[in-house]
Amino acid sequence: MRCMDDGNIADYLCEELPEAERAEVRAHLSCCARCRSKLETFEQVRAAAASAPPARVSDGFTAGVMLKLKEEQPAAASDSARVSFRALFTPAYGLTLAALALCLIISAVFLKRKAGLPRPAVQTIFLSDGPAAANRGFYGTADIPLENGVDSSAAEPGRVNTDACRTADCGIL
Amino acid sequence: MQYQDRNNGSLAPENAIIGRFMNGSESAFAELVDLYKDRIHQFIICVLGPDREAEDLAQEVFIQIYRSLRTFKRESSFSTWAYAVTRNVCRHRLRARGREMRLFSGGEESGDLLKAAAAVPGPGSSLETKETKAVIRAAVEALPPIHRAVLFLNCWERLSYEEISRVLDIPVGTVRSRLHNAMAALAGIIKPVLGPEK
Ligand SMILES: [Zn+2]
Repeated sequence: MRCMDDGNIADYLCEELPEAERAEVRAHLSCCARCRSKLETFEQVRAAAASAPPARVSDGFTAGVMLKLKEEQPAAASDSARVSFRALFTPAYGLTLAALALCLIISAVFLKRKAGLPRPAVQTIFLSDGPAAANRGFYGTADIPLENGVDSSAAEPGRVNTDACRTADCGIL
Repeated sequence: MQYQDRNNGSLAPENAIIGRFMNGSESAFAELVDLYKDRIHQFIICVLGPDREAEDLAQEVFIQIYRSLRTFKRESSFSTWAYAVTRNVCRHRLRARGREMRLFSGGEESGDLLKAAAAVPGPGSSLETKETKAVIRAAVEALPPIHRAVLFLNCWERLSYEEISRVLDIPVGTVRSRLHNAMAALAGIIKPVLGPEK
């Protein structure tokens, strides 16, 4: 092996060489005083650079950071209050709202029947309260046969079809 | 003063502290600040040079760390991640100040290295041992920012070339050449201070 340049020596010192190359360097160092001297100088540089401690911060530094973080908390709390209105539109709240709407519709249909009002020919209502209606694949096409592209189970008069009903039908609930 | 947790993998004390912080302990975060405050401060000084805002920036770094620590994936060591956050904070501050961001380009490298050589007394000067550290610090401070940053991360923090490349967002080859240049320049400068050649 030829004598090493500054780069090789730094790589060796920083343990950035693969083991095979390290072995070569070690063998060369054992018989080359010039490279050994270079390595020692670099070792001194590295030790010297590591011996100067980091510049200290002032005494109240950590307390200052913690105070700033504390001051940020009220702002974060009001943020979460603002979010709560948006939370109405998150899936869990949306589902509750959809269930309420469903109850109202069922009651309306029931009362209409009781009052002896003429029954409409077909009273099929579709409500979407989740991905089920949009994604038939979730239940498999065999469960709900299509007739000429129409969902036969949905054609039953007076039945309110929602995803929740389908979920109940398929046994998940 | 020597820190024992330099890139020391699972033995690093910050791992236990971060664990407690994740479990809701606010005081654990104060411990983390105590452990890293001087190092982050020093790194800011490496990047920006002596700066009257260095402490303010260090505080800003810890606030950023607090906000995003829960998303820290531990794919790298905490120190690598924390220094990358610091670099970003410095970069934003420089942009806000409207300065040209040339810190990591190494544009004036040879000139600055010559300035670094001139910053330290020559071979004829007699220096007390207790002054050695001040001389070394002066020599390091006179280096260009990227050399200072690479030296600090490699010599003090013992980060690998790859880790330094991630912290500074520069190629590994650049890390390597900057480190070699900085070490060679420092070797020429501090050799007379550290004693005769063996
Ligand atoms: Zn040799």
